[in-house]
Amino acid sequence: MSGRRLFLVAAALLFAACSALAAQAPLSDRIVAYKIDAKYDAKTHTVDATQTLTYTNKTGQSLDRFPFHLYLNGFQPRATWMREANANGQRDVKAGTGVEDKKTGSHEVTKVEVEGMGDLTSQIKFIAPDDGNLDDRTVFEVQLPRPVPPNGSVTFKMAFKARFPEVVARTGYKRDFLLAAQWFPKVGVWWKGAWNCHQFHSQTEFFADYGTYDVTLTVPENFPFGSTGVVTSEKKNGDGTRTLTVRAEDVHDFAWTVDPRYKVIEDSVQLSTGNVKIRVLMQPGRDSEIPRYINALKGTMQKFDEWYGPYPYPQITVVDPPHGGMAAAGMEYPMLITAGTSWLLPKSLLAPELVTEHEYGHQYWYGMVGSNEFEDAWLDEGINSYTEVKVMDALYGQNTSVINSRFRTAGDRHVQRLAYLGIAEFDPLTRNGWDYLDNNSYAGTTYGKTATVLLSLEQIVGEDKLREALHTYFMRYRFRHPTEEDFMKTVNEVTGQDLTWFWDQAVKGTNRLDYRIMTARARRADWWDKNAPREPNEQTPYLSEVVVHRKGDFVFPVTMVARFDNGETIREQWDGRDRWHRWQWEKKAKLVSAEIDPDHRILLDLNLFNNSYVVEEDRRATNKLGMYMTIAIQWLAQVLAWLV
Amino acid sequence: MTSRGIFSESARLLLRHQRIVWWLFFVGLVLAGLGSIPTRVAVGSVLNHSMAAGHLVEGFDAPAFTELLAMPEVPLPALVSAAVAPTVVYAVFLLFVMGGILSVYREDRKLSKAEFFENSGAWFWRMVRTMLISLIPFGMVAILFSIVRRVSDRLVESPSERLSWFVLWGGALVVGLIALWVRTWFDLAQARAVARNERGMIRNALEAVRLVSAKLYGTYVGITAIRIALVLAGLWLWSLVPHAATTVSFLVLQAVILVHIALRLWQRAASVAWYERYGPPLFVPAPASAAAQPILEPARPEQSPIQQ
Repeated sequence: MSGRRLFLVAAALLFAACSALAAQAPLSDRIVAYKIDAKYDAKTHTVDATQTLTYTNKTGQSLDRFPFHLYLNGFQPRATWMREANANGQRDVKAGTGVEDKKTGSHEVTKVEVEGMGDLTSQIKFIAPDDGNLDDRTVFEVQLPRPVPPNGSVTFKMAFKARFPEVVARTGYKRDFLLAAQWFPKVGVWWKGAWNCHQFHSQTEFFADYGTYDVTLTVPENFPFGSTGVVTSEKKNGDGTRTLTVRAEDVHDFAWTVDPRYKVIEDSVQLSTGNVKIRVLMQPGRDSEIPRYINALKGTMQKFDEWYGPYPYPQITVVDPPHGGMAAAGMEYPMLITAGTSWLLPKSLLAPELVTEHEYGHQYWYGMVGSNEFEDAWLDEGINSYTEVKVMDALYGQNTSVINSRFRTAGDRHVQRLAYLGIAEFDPLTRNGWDYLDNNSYAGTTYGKTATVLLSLEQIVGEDKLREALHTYFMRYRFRHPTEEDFMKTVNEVTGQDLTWFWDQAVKGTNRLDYRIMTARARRADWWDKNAPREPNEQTPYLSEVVVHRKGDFVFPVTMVARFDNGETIREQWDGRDRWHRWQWEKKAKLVSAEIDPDHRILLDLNLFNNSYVVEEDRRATNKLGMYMTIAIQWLAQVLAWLV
Repeated sequence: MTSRGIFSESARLLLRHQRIVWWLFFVGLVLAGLGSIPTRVAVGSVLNHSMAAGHLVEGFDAPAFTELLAMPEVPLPALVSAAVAPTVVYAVFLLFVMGGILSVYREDRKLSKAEFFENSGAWFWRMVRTMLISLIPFGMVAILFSIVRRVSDRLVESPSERLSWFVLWGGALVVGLIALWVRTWFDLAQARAVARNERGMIRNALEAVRLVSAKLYGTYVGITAIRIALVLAGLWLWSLVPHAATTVSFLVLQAVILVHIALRLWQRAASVAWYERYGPPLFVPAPASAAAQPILEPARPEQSPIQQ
């Protein structure tokens, strides 16, 4: 072997070794390392567990106080979560309905010991940093006798008992089904120079640090199981239970599920990172729905891989909640999502596909980009709703991605827009989750408005540039906790534009965007000429005029297209700042129509019907709706007539 | 007479007097047309000059339609009120002419307009009273359905996902059949009232309930089945019509409504035919004057066909 060849072989080996090492290197800082040993009692829907948490202090300063979440205590009658849900309603709770016993849950920490510092159980102190509610026990803190130095670590040993509610807010049981989420004491996040550990609110989700989870779970032997992470070992205990050991890396949460009725379906999808295993835990009697989940998931995973970045985990699990347990549907946890369907759901309603897409998208915008869902829900739910629109458009068609039947259609972008229309002026995106006007405003703003804002942003920066910006944002902030400013700065940087004017109005403000064609008309320009032929012909000059009016306080650049009866089209621009703008043309052609936003991208515009004006009246739509109204009245009359 | 006999005889009655079908159809159409005017005006103000209206012409874009309904130019509560009013007028109109319609079927001859409306007027308040009495059993049927719904809701807790659904729809079918039996009863009561020039409507209803036979009810069920099949066939046909073909859609759906009205009147004719066959004629049919001063013949005790 020549020296040159030997060198090449050595270089190749070195490269391979480096690649292998890089592949094994942690993806995140791994601030936390949880070791949990838990036993599930399926009769009482409770978990008895011990937990060892090793926290590595990478804050750059000494820490002597540690806050922890106890989310299940939110489901106590006087807790903040329950109060808010009862007052304003929540996805699973109708306002003013009170509290049913079975809908309560609890967390009890029976022991807290810190390695080298002794038993600190007596140091447990419940705090309510958001609303001062002394009855809220969803956050407790522990004061250490001595601080943990920078880059030092501390190990907490806890014993706790979790009692699950009948499923509410995406955790709990329904008959034998259990979705165990937010089930262990979880330490807060040191963020922006302080502990960030909010109480559990009815409209907020979660925020936690990345790390590893080694969980040993004892569950009934005949209950199929799914969870975050990968099962590394399993043994039967001979008493009707089995113990599973699960390892999850570079995640910020750990959820699991069991149900004796699960049918387990396994599949896989090829991504740029390799083959990813798909597990679907399906309810019986819904076999026709299995391909709907799997096809939607595969399509979504491939689109995310292609557009936004790699999925680094080896597995993803889709949970199909049981009937009556829809409060568990549509939720995301690392490597595990819950979808939702029914045996009689029509194929034309793409709800299972939509929810699968949406929850998988969270693997990116919640799972890997660790946004603070308490304070910046839009960075997760909103960006995810935008990417949901893009993926659903690509997979199922822009106007048919939610409903696709002969009788009616609906595209996801317009469904998101509808959510925004109802709450357009109430809350900015940059608001703490619990400070929104109500549940409608929270949902409409964080999901619908954000998606609509980003779809409208495409008009300014271009669809491809925005996709590139999201890819950069994902790659730059995955396994970190970015802020709102990080997101906006990244988009500015990648697009090469200072979009402050846009962010101020669309993200930080509640400005209303509504431009309309106020006037579109054509008059004969030879009106003064007594010799001009009375009947117009091709030589007849017209003075055509279009006036666009800014009705709202949102300033946005306007593109206007005027069409003439000789086929000519004129495209004009206006910066949109003044209250109105007029264009006039004198030509031997008559104005036929005028339209602003001809590419139909500015979905933030509150009224799309006044964005265009056709000079010659077209009554086809009116006639159609009038006809159906006539038919509806006739049918209603027949129903009444049957009774007489 | 077998139920097939009533079937064919009443069908012949229906066809011989099909003018009634057309009249009811046109009255309903005119009223509905009037009721839809406010909707046409309101949506027209938004759509007639907007290119976005295209979403509702070439297809039916549900979000665009929802957005349209949310606009201040389209005051939904007012439009719904304007739409409901004609249905009430139609129901009252039907109550008014029912006496005349049943007279036509009973006498099986074309009445003059004067005769028809005199008959209608003569029985109008009795028809109203019969309808009010019928609200009691229909109310009980409604309560029965609410119980079915409640049971179905509770069965959501059952491990079987389909049980709740089958209970709901199975229950709805049973309740629907019960409601149809009540309808048969009161159609017969109306036919009997006209035939006997009955004035005591409570007594009339109580007599009629004893007369409802399985054969008449079977005829009603059969006609209802045909009606449902034809309506579904019509709707299927409509589903094949392109979205933009509004006129064709309109004609197909009008045909469906026409068929629906005809088959309902077929049931009315069946109840009259059945009563004429099994309930003895009791008075000389001169309803206009009879309404003021009925000429009664000695009544014979009624005989139920079941007892024969």
